[in-house]
Amino acid sequence: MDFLETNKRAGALEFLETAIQRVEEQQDDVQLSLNSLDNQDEIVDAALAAAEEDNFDEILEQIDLLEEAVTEG
Amino acid sequence: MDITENNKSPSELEHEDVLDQVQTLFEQFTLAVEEEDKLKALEAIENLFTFSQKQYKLIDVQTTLNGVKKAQEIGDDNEAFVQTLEEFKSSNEEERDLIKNRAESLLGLKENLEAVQKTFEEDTNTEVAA
Repeated sequence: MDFLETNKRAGALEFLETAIQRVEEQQDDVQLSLNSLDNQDEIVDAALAAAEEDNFDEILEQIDLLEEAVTEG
Repeated sequence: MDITENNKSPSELEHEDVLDQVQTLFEQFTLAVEEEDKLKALEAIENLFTFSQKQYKLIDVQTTLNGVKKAQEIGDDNEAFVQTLEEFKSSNEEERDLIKNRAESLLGLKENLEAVQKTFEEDTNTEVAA
């Protein structure tokens, strides 16, 4: 058995494991971003519905929520 | 504490927070470049991009809020802020497409990495068995 090659492969495997873990973390971030966009869209829809009824208090409330959602998203 | 700090309006302070945050993110990028760490540099640029995007969205929200207040003052004209809200939603749609592309790229990258990992593991197992 070539120990040098085996060691190199062990190092590469460790690197691959870290890289895969990193990609998985990014996949989680991507999912969170998509969830945040869905949430923002729901708030915008609620604000638009309130605008149709000229319900300014409700619109202002939804815009506060939107600001919160964008800040956290 | 600098005495002039007390004379600053909340929006000015907020503006300074944004600049501080941009500077911090840019310093992270510069450091990564100096260390020749490409992954860290990419991550820093990505963070800077995400932060800028968020700031633009907050400006849209602020514009909408001002539009609502104006409409409330004058009574019935809500056309301007409704348009801003619709534009906000449309820009979210574009952002969603970009994120979906990124999700696909990540999936492809993960599959490639796992394929290489599998090959390496099989080679190692074959050697151990021999």
